[in-house]
This record gives sequence, C-alpha cells and structure tokens, in this order.
Amino acid sequence: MDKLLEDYKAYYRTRSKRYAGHPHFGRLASAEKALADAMEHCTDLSGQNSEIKKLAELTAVAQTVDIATYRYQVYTQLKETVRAKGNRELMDHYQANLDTEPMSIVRANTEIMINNVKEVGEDITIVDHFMDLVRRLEVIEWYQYGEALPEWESKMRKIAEELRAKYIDHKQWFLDETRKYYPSYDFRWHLLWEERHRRLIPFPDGVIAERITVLKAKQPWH
Amino acid sequence: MALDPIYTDAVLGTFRTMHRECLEKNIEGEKFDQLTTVMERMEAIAATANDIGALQGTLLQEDLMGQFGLLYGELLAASHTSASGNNHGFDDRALLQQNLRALEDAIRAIDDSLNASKDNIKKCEGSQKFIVAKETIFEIDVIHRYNTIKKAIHELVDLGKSCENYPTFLRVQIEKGLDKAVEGTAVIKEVYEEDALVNEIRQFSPYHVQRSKEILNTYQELEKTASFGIPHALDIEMERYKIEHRFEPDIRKWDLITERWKEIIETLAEWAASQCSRAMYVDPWSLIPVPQRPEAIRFSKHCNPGIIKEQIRLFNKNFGMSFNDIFTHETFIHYTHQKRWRYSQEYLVHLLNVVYPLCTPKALLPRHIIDADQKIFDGKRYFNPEEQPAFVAYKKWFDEKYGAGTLESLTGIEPFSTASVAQPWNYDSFIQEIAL
Repeated sequence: MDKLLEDYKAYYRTRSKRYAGHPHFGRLASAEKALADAMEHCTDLSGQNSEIKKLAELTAVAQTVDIATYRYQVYTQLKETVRAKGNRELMDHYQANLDTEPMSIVRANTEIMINNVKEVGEDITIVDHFMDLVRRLEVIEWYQYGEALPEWESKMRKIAEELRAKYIDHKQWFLDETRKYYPSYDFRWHLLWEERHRRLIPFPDGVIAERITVLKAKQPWH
Repeated sequence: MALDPIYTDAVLGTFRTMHRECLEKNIEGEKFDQLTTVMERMEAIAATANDIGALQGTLLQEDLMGQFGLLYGELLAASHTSASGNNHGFDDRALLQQNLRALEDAIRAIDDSLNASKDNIKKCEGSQKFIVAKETIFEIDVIHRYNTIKKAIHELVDLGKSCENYPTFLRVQIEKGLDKAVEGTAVIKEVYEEDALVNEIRQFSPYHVQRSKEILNTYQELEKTASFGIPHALDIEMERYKIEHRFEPDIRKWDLITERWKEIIETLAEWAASQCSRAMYVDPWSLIPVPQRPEAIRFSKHCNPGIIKEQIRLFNKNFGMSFNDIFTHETFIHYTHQKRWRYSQEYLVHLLNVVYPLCTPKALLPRHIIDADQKIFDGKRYFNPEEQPAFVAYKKWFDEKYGAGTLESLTGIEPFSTASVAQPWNYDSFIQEIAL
C-alpha cells in the first residue's frame, strides 16, 4: 500500500502542474495544489476519503469558476454580451453559494450554459434574417423601380407584386421555423444596433435604419 | 443542417459507453445524476451542431469532457470501493481494469459507428463514381482522423496494461499528453494545419488566408508554453474565437461586395447576349424550356438596363461605391489576379467600354455593337482561356490527397477544357484598357 500511496501522491503532484502559472486558471491551480499538498500528508489511502474528496470537489468548483471567468473576460472584451451573460450568471451563482454550497455551481453549470447556448442561438439569428430579408427587398426594388418601355415596365411591376407576396410569406415562415427552436423569438430589429450585431452588417447606419422601418411594417407597400 | 451521425457517434462514443457502463452497474445517486446531465448536454450540442468544428468547439469550450471525466472517475472509485469489499475501502487494481475496459469499449463504439456510416454512404443517391469518391474521402479524412484518436486510446490502453497501478496510469497519461490526445487535440491541430494550407491554395480572400494562418500560429504558440506540450482546450478555443471574431466582419463585407458587383456585370453581359443570335443557346436561357425562351430573352433585352440601374443604385447606397469604383476595389483586384473570371479580359473590356455606356433604360444596342459582341463569341474569344490557378492548385492538392479524379467524381466538374483563343487575363493591362 505504501508504494500505491506514493504513486497517488506523484499523480496529484503531476496534476497540480497542469495549471500552475496559467493566467486564467488561478483558482484551479490553487485547488489542485491544495489537493496535492493534502495528499502529501496522507498516510493511508483508506483514510483519505473525507478531506481528499472535499478538496477534489473543490477542484471541480474551481475549474468551473475559472472557465466561466475566462470566457466572461473574453466575451466581455469582445462585447459579446449575450455569450458573456451565461458565464456572468455562473460567476454570480458561485459568489452567492460560496459559503454554503460551493459544489452547486457544478450542477448549475449545465443548466445555465444550456440556457445560454439557446440565448446565443436566438440572438445571432436576427442578423441572418435581416440580411436575407433586405436582399429580398432589394430584388423587389429592381422590379418596382426599374425603368423600361411601358409594356415591359408593367411586367416588371407584376413581378415586384409577386415578390412582395413571397416576401411576406417568407418573413412569416422565418418566424414560424425559428420559433420551433426558440419559442419566444421575434424580429427584435433594435438589437441590430448592438455592437455584436452591428459589426456584421456592412451597410451604413442610414441604410440599416431605413430597412428596419420597412421590415417593421406588416404591409410595407400599402 | 444537423451533423452526420458518424461525427457525433465517434466523438460521443467513448462517453456513451462510459455512461452506459454506469447504468448497467446500477450506479445511482447525485454524482450519477450530474454525469447524466453532462451526457445529455453533450447529446444536445451534438444534435444542434452544424459541423464537427462547432461540436468539438462547444464540447471543449464548456469543458464537458473534463467534467464527465471527473464525475466518471469519482463514480468508478466509489463503485469499486463498495464492490471490492476491501477493508481499506479501496481497490486500485479493479479501478484500473475498469478504466481500460471502458477505453476498449470506446474503440469498439467508434468502429461500430464508422462502419454504420460507411454503410450509409453506400446507400447515398448518386453515381457509382460519386459513391466511391465519398467513400475515399471518408476513408482518408474521417477514418484517418478517428484512427488518430483510436491510436491515442490504444496507446492509453497499452500504457494502462504496463502500469502497475491506477495512479501511475493517470500520471503518465498526463505527462505524455495522452489524456488530451484522446480528446482529439492532435486531430484539432491537423485540422488547423490543413485549413491553413487549403486557404493558402484556394485564395478566397486575403482575410481567409490570414485567419487560418493566425489560428494555426496561435495554436503553435500555445504549444510552446503549455505544460506537458499540449495546449489547454479552452485556450485553443478562446484564441480561435478571438481570431474568427476579428475577421468575421471583413470576410462578410468582402463576400457581399464581390457577390454584388459580379451580379451587376452578369446582368450587363446577359443584356448584351439577349440581343445576339446566340441567346437561344446560351445560359441563362438554355436552362429554360424552349417554348418559354423567346419571352425570357425579350424580358432581359428590355428590362435589364432598368435592373442594372437599380443594382448600381443599391450598390452605391450599401457600400458607398460607384460603378467605376468596382474596378479598383480590392475585391475586384483579388478576383482578377486570381483569374476567376468566366469571361475573357477582351470580353469584359468590350462590356465596360462599349456595352455599358449604352446600357440605359429603354435602350437597345445598335446593330454594329451586337455584331461586334457576337463576333467575339464566334471568334472564341469570349471565355477566359485559363483555368483558375487557385483551382488548379486545389485540384492538385486534392488529387494527391484523395487520388486522381476524386474531385471530379465528387463534384461532377468536368476536367477543364477550352476552345477559347483569347489572351490570358492580366489586371495591369485590363485597368489600362478600360475607359471608365
């Protein structure tokens, strides 16, 4: 058993080196070190259970908090506020339960992050919907405003009319399909002005504002 | 589009096996519930991921593999402590054996999954050549990549068999980086290397090239400073995220501007062709049933100038660029240097110098211009005489990797042949020749 105990100590020492000095895993490095130090004082594997298990749990807690903090810092720096939000919630949860039930963050992690992945998915959809619908509006404009001899101009206007009907159907289809995944989804066009979305649309502000006005209208041509 | 089960099965196979093992052992309690929640989370990500990168990325980003490993280890330890009847409450040998069996099961799960996917490829719609090409690519990409993971698992099993106890096994796998290899870190590096190479070959834009280079360089930098030589999964993911985030607006803008000016020039070329004798036999009209073709040709002839005017207006409104600005824009220069044009330089110069000035709503081309246009076409000087160099290089790379003819079989692209006798493209002379 002595040899086994020594090998366990060596394992925990190695484990503790994995995160030592890492700028984003300070808590985990400390937790791993505390675990390795406790193991060093351990004299009998059967006697390790309570303290070692507690410290092992705290490494899981530290890892979860460090990951959330790391991601929160990156996403905040990049102004990805929705991605940052889930990690902020985890950090807040940790602070709120630090003294009473630190392990609860490990359990909360999955639920909070699943919820956040949904929020991110719903949030980013608005840009693709905007770009798609604006493209449809542009094509309508070709046929609505394109000049030609009267006979041909009337044909163009008829095409514009057909495209308008399709645009309205398509807009509704976007909503219906997206709500299958994100039931509360709506065209929250004002979100496009937020940095994370605005940066992805290569149009001037005036164009975006004008398009949003049209997109908000139920029957923009009447 | 949901990810092919081959990828999800291979990535999650190890974890499914371990989770099933706990179920079969009737392990229960809070830890097992947590393990199940992590498993469900991984399944949920797999069900919604669009590509293997997104799947691996999210799993790594949320450290689900790490969480799973911790919980699984604790469950196994608890299970053996109670099952062994060991007075010390600890059965190290059983713990090691159990872990090795789970790893061997994982290899079998990966094999089963790969075999199932191979069977699915055989059921694909398409020609025999197409199916063989898909099988070849599957063999070289997917199987090769999962062989890398399988090799790492085998090494881990061999290591376990040679270790006298469980902690030695755990320690050495960290020191050798095998724990990370099983998670697919080596595969990620290989994917980054290939991505950088393919982007350099294909030259979609300078941003695509630079983005993939920076991702690979960053990975290599992380390797230098990582403990035990293998970067932390979250470092890889965060650094990659930052790089992709930085490049995304430029790439979106580049692609959109290129798409829009190409559309304007296509509409202009279509207007010219609609007035020529070739109209009935060339696209887009050759794709329309014969009875409807004359009307469609007349529509282009009479309506395209009005449409082009609107396209140019919108181009200016969206990007602040005039029609003339197109030809000195970085997207146009890159496209032309890459010789991506369908048309010859001579024909595009003709379109811009001769056709465009006459393209006003309600106007038609005069006879002598129509004749001049048709003459370029009949004289076999209409099409770009060269295959795109980037595509030639890509085909060479593809052939070397997957075998000659695989790309053609997969995509249906015919080997390049041209009867065009036009002069090759040269941006410097082009910009001198156009009179805008």
